[in-house]
Amino acid sequence: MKLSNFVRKIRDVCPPDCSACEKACAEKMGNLGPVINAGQVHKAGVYKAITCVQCGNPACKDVCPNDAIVKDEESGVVRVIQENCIGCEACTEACPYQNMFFDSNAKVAFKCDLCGGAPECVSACPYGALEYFRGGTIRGYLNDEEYLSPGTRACAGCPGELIYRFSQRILGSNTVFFGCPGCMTILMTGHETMAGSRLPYVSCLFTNVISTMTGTSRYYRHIGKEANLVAYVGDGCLSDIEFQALSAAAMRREKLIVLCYDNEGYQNTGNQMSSTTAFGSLTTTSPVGKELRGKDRDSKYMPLIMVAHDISYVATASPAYLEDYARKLTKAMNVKDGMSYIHILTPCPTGWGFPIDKSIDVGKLAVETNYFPLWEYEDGILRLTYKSDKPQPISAYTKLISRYRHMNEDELQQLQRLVDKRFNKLGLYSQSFRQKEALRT
Amino acid sequence: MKEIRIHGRGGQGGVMIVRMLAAALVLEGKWASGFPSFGMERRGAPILAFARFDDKPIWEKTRVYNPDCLVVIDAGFISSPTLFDGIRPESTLVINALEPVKKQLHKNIRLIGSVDATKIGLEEVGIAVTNTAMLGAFARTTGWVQLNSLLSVLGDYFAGDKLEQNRKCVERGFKEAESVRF
Amino acid sequence: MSDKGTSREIKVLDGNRAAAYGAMLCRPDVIAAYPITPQSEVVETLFSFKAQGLLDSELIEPESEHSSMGILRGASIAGGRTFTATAAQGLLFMFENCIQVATQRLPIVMVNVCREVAGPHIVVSGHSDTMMTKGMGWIQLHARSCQEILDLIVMAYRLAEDPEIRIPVAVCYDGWFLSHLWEPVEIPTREEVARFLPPFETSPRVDPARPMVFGPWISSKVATEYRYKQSAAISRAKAKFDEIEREFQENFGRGYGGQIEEYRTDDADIVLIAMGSSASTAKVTVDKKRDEGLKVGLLRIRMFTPFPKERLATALKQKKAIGVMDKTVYFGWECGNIFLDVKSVLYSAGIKMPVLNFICGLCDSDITTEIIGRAIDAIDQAAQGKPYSEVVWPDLE
Repeated sequence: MKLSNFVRKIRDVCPPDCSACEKACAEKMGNLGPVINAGQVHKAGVYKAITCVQCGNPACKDVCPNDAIVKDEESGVVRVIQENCIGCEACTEACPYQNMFFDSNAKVAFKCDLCGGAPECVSACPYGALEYFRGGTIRGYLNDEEYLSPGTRACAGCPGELIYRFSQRILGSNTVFFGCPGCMTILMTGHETMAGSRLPYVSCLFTNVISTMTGTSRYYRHIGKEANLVAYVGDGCLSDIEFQALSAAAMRREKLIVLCYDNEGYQNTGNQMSSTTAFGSLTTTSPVGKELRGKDRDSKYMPLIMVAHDISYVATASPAYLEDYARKLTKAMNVKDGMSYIHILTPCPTGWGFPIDKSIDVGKLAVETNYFPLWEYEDGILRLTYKSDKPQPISAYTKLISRYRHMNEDELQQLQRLVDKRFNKLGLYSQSFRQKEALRT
Repeated sequence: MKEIRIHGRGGQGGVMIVRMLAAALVLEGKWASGFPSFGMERRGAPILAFARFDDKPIWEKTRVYNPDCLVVIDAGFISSPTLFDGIRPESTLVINALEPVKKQLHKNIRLIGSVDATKIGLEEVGIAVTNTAMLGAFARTTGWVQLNSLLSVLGDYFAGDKLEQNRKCVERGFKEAESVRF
Repeated sequence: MSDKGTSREIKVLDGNRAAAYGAMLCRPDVIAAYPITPQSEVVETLFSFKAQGLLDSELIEPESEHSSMGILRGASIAGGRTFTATAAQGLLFMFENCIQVATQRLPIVMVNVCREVAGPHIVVSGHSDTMMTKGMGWIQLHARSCQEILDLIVMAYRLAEDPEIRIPVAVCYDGWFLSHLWEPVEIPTREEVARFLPPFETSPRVDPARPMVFGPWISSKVATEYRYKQSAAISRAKAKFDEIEREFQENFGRGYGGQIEEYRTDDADIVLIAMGSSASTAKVTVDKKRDEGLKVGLLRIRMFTPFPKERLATALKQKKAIGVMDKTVYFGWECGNIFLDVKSVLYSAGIKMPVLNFICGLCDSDITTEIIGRAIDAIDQAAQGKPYSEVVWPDLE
C-alpha cells in the first residue's frame, strides 16, 4: 500500500506560548493522547512531518506479535487495534520516528490516526502553520522497490541525491543511467563501495554522455530492445561542454530522457561559474572585489533552448515540488518518440552557501519568487504547472544564499528585472501558444 | 604501361573519364588505375586527372609525370605553358575543339584526335557535358580501349534517359573524332 | 559483385568506396560517421547502400566526429558491432573518446584516411594525424591498395573482436593517393565474409536485466593492473594478426605478410622501409635498382601499432644499411616517427648499422619513383662506408 498522508508544518510562525495543536489533539484523542507535542512543533523545520507519516511498509506493524497493527488500504492510515494489543511495546521500539506511543496505565499502544481524514490539529492552529499533506498521489508514481543503496555520498543537504533516488523509484528497473564526472558521479558509480544502485550505470566523459546514450539507444532499436535510457548530468555539462551533442541529438529526435540537475555552476570542481550561474553570483571564477561584482551577465536558460528544438517533452522541476516532478518524469518516460528534457534546479548548500537543512526551502523560494518557474512543454503548448498566488521579491530568495550576499540594492533590482523579464517571456510563450490553440478550436 | 593525363575544369567530368576508362579497361582483363588531382573541388577551376593501364598489376600510386597521352577537355588549355610538361616522345593528344586541330602543337605529339564534345553534349544531353564524348574520341584516336567496353560500363554510372543520352555521346565521340598524324 | 553479394565480383573502386564495401560486408549494427575530406565518400557510399536496402545497420550522421566515436562507444558497450570513418582534424576531435574506448576494450573498427593536420590551412595527404594518435591504445593497420583496404577491414573486425585481444582497430590509408585512387577491387561474397567473421558476441554488456556500473571508480592498483593487461593485449595482437591473415589468405586467396610485408629482402644488402601507398610505388623502383645490380629489398610496415619489433629485428639483422621513409616529422627529434621506432628496435636487438631517414610525402608531396631512387642510392652509399646524412628531406634538396 503506497498511500501515506500526514500533517506537516508549512510556516515557521508559531509563537512561543501557543499549544493549540497539542490541546486540540488531546481533546480529540481523549484518554489516549495527545500524539502531538507543541514544543516539537515549534522546533520542527518547514515541511517537516509533525505526525506519524503512516509508512508504506510500517515497521510497527512488522514487529507486532499479535497482529494488533493494521494499515488501512483505503486511507493509508496505520491503526492500533487496542483489543489485540498485548502491551509488549515492540512497536514503540521499532518506529524510527518516535511516533508510536504507549499508555503505561492502560498498557496499550496508540498513535495518530489523522482524525479520520480531518486532523483537528490543522484546523485548531490559529496561524495556518500546519497542513494536512496527502502523500497518496505522489506514492502512486513510485515503484515499491528502492534501487539506491541507503545513505548518501553526496554533500550533506544535497537535493541532487533526493532527485536521483526519487527518479529511480519512478523509472523502475528497465532503466540505464548515464552520467559523467560531476557531483553525482560518486553516487552513480558507487564510489568506494561495490554498488551504488541496483540500476545499471554507464560512466561517460564530460563530453560524450549524449553520444554514448545515442549509441546504446540505436543498438537497442536495432535488436528490438526497449529501456529507459536516462542521463543524469549537471548544468556545466549540458549547457556548456556537452551542448553541441545535446542539440544535435535533440534535432535527430534520439529517444533519450535527459535530466539536468542545475546547481548553477561547476560545483564538483569547487564552485566555478557555468552558463547557468545566475547574475550576481559569487563563484571562484566570478569573484567579488574592487573590479568585479560576481557574474556580470544573466544565465543561459536551457529549458527554453530545448523548447526551440521542439523535442517531445520539456519541463522544469524542483526537489521542493516532488509530486510535480514525479508527474513530469512519468510523462517523459511515456514519450514514444524523441527526446524528453527536464531541467531541475537543485540548490547547492556547499557551493551557494546556505545551511544544509534549507535546500528544500531555497528550492521552494526559487519557485515562489518566479526565479525558477515550473512549467512543461509538449505538443507545441507551454504551460505553467505551478503559479505563485503572490510572488515574493527576489530578495526573499537571495537573502538565504551567501553567494548573493555582496549584492547591493541596484544589483538586486537588476536581478529582479532579469527574473521578471524571463517570467514575462514564458508568459508570452504560453500565451501565444494558447492563442494558437484557441484559433484552432 | 600507358599513362594518361586529363586536363579539364571542375564540373566537366574529368574524374568520371578516368573512372569509366579504368572500368572499361578492367573489363577487357587489363589492370588500370585512375585518380584526380587533389584539393578543393570548385566548378570551373583547372583540374588534372590521371590514368594508367597495363597488362600486369600497377604499383605506382603517384601522379602521372610522363604521359603517353593528353586528354584536353577545354581547348583553352592549349595556350597553357605547362600543358605539355613531361610528355613522352610519340605521344597522343585527344582534344575537345570546335574545329579539328591540324597543327602539331608540340614536337613529341605524333597524333592528334579532335572532336567537338561540347556540341555533342549539348545536342544529346542538353547541357555541355563532354566526358562521354571525349571517351569515345579517346577510344577512336588511341585504339587503347574498345568502344564496346566503354558502352558496357556506362550502365554503372548512368541510368534511365541519361544512360541512353551518354551512350549516344560515346558513340558520336567515337564516330566524329578526326585524327591527324605527324 | 552483385550488390546482392552472392558471387565475387571485380569492381573498379576508389579507396573510400572499397572501405564502404568492406564495412558493409562486416554487418555492423551501428555506424556513425561525420563527413570530412578526404573521407566523405565512405559515409556517402554507406548512406547510398542504406538507401538501396543493402545495409542493415543503424546509420547516423552526427554533428561531429566526437559524437561519432561516442555513439560507437554506447553501441559497443551494449554489445553491438560498430564502424566509423574519419581523417585528420576529425581524428583529433574524437581523440579523447578513442582513448576511452581503447581502455574499455571495445572492439570498434574505424577507417582513418590519413591527412595532414592543420595548419597552415591544408587539406592534403600526410601521416601527421595517425602519428599524433599512435599512443591512444588502438591497433593501427596501414594499407597500400584499395583491395587491401577492403581486406584489412574484414581482418580488423576479427582482430578487434578476438576474446584474447579486444582492442579497437584503425585501418589507415593515404588520403587521395588511395582514398581517391580508382583501381580494380575484388569484392568477396557476403556468405564467405560471414563464415570468416561470425557475429559479435560479448559479455558483459549494458543491460537493465544485469545491472552493473560500466566505468567504476577503482583503486590505483586495480587501475595499474588494468593498464598492464591492456598493454599485454595490444602486444598479443601482433602474432594474432599474422594468424588471422594466414586464415584470410586460405579463404580469400590473398595475403600481404601480416605485420610486415617483405619484398626481395632475403638476399638484400640494403633495405628501404616504408608504409602506406609509397611502399607500393617503391616496388617499382626496387625492381629497377635490382635490374641495375643493386641488392636492395623493400620492407613495408602494415601494423604500425603495436610496432612489429620482433619481425623487424629478424628481417634486418644481416643487412648493411637501411633507410626509413617517414611522412611526418617528430618535432623535437628532427626526424620521423617510424625512424625513431626502427632505431629503437635495432638497439634492443643489438644490430648496429647506418640507418637513414627520408622525410618526404608531407603536405601532399608526391613520393615519386625518382625520390625513392635517390633514397636507395643514399642507403647504398652509407652501406659502402661513405659519409651520409642521417635525416634527409628529399623534397627540399
